[in-house]
Amino acid sequence: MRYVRIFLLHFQDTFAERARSFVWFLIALINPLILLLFWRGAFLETGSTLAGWNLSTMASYYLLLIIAGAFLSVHIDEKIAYYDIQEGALSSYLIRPFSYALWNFFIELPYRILQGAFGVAVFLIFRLIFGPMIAIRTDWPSLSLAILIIVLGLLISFFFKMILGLSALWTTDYSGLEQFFEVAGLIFGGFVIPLNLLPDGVQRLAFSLPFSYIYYFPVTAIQGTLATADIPNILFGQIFWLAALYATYTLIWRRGIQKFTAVGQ
Amino acid sequence: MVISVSHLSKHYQTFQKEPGLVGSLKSLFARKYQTVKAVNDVSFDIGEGELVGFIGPNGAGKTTTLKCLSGLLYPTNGKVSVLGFTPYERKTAFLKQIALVMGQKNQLWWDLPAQETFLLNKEIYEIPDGEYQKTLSDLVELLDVEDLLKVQVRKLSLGERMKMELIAALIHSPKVLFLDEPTIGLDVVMQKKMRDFIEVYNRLNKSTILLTSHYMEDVRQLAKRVIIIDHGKILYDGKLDSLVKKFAKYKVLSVVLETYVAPDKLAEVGELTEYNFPKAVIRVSRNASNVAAAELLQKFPVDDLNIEEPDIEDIIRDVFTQAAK
Amino acid sequence: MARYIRIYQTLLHLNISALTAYRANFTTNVTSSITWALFSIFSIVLLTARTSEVFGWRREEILFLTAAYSILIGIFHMVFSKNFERFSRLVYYGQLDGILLKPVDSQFLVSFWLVNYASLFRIIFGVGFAAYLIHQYHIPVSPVSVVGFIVLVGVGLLLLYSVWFLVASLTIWYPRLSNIVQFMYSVSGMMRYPQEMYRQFAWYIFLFLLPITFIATIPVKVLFQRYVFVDILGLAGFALVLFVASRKFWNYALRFYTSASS
Repeated sequence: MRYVRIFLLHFQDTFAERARSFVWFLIALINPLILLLFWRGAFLETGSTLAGWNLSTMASYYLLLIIAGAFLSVHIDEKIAYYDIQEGALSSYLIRPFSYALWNFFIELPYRILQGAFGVAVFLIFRLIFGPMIAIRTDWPSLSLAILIIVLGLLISFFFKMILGLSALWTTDYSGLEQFFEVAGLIFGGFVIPLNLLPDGVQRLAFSLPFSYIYYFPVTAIQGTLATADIPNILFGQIFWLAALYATYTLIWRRGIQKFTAVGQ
Repeated sequence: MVISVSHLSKHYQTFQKEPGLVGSLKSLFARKYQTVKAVNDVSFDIGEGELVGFIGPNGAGKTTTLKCLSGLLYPTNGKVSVLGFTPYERKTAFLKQIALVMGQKNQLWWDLPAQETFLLNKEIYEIPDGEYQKTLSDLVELLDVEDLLKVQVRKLSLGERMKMELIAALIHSPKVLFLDEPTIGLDVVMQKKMRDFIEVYNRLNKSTILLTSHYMEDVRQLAKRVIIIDHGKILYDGKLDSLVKKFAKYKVLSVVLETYVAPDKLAEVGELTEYNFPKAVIRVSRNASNVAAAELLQKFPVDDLNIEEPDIEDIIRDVFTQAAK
Repeated sequence: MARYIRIYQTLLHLNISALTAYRANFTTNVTSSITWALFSIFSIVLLTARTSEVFGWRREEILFLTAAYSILIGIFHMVFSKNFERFSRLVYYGQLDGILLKPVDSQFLVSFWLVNYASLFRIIFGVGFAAYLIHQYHIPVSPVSVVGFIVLVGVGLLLLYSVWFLVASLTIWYPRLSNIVQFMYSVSGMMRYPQEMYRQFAWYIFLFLLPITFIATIPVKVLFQRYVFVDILGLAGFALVLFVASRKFWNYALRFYTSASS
């Protein structure tokens, strides 16, 4: 029950940060939108299809990416790196009888839901204006599998960012590291172009990194462009990454506290 | 008059938010604003070379007044003049002659030796080479930090860092110095060193210093003149000695007794504020202090007797409680 | 004034000293600079792999636009970015006071305090890519067009700075909006594409985005000698107007700051 109350408390916080949330939403909106503009022009030039993608599937891909970017991009690493570690607020967490990860998850969740809601709102507006051009899977079995893939994607994103945030204990310029992974996420998550349009070697790399499991597969799953035969492999990949990241997080957390409490703030 | 304040007021708005989720939702649509009168019709003048203590409890309006004097805040009402300038216009010539030092805020570059920050300030304040060298060496000597000039700021202890902050703040030899809670957060030894420094600096440079504090020790040592402020209003402005004489209607008799005397017997002489045999502390009205002392010596087996002024803290506390009524 | 140049020289020097104090950071910054440079080149190569002309621009022209963007954003990152990132922290932690107390223009101090030398690599990559494209595609350039390009890059930078500063000034009212910097990075990324691409938007949105779309497009057009005089006028006009606006708005924001805080 106390978790619910904590959740509500953090939701309040989010309301107080409504402008900030809106900005995060705008950020998630801009890049896919620009790319969509580009493809619109490109498809008009080259004719209607490109390796299985046409303007409408490409459009729905990028629009769904807006939601994916908004909902699945976890930002807790910023709070951990700057507020908890640099400013020293981490000490207060060490006293609480709470899992650090769980507490941070409840801080992050309202933001994700709010962002996701904004994203869905935009998507619906686009659907209203452009109609059936934007297509998603609507049958229950595929939908429920897609939801599972999305949830797993969020968890992978969360633990990845937790590890990233904690890395601030070992590096003093956190933003350089943050940017590196942002770019990796953009390329290998499918934000530039759909992953199956990448050259072979790069494509194989993309499918072995966690980013595709955070963004690309959730989007293609809900879009319906994901082949049913591939789903078990993808779920396996997601579970693998989730387990690996969770284990790494636990290890880093333990080492991290040692370092933090040894040095003092 | 170097500093001239006339009917200064500073009000600002805050809004209320009700607790709970419903309150947050409400605050999305309508907010209730409240006007806080941080400074309320304050007037005083300060002459060149004076060292004035600005005392009051937290939230009294001290920092707000300092910020108005240094140009950081735009007054709601009234006139302020410092060195002939209107502070909030923040003219270059004005800013070159003042300094505001606020406790924990720092301006030193963290990863570099303090010396680098001094050189930057030299350019910013357009300090000529010769003057810069002289001021720097004077300050370094006064604060005894010769060996630390080339050490990275992040490697310095808190006390050493504070000294460097002071040098950075004073390198341009300001004529007017505003110190906001200069001894806060420092240990007892550092506090004393800070006070000594301020005293010496004021004497050597004839700079006008206005310092705020809620520590009595700062006041006792430094300020010959005090301005007491609470809830944005000035309660007293004048010499410290006069404050004592004006507001302290009583004197304190501290007695050491040879043999035990019942409390109610002692209370016949005056107000018994403390009794820890063999020590007793009795309050009597100022005029009657000699008579009371004589009475004590006559009636009771007194080993030692002292007639003292009341503690400044107690006086000031009384001033505040009186004002609250 | 000469005074401001001297102050900036000192700042340049201090920033170099700070670099050597933190060599690990510098390497991370350089890596991230190179990463973003490669990313923008990589993405545009991928995107244009199967198209030879879009929006009236040939493939090599679009690629060159990315090179110009790298140069522009590299200079911007070097001189301004860190300062904008620091901006909201300044306001949030009340450190704006320290800046206002200095006898130097506050907009200057806030904008030029930090220098990110690592971005030099971004500029180098941009110039390298540009040179490669000129050679590979035999693009005809003349000394005049190169000078024109450089000058207009400068004007474009002024425009970009002004837009950023106008937006950043909003943090005085909303100190928690630190992610506005991230937002502006995304917005700045818009100049990577031809101005014509944005005409697909409804006119009111296009008008809103117009200033940014000028920044990289016009210098490139000048270099390729495919410009119209109105283009240059538009770029310069916007730069001037927005710069003046940024100063006025900043003073207005400071009035609010000094009236509303305590």
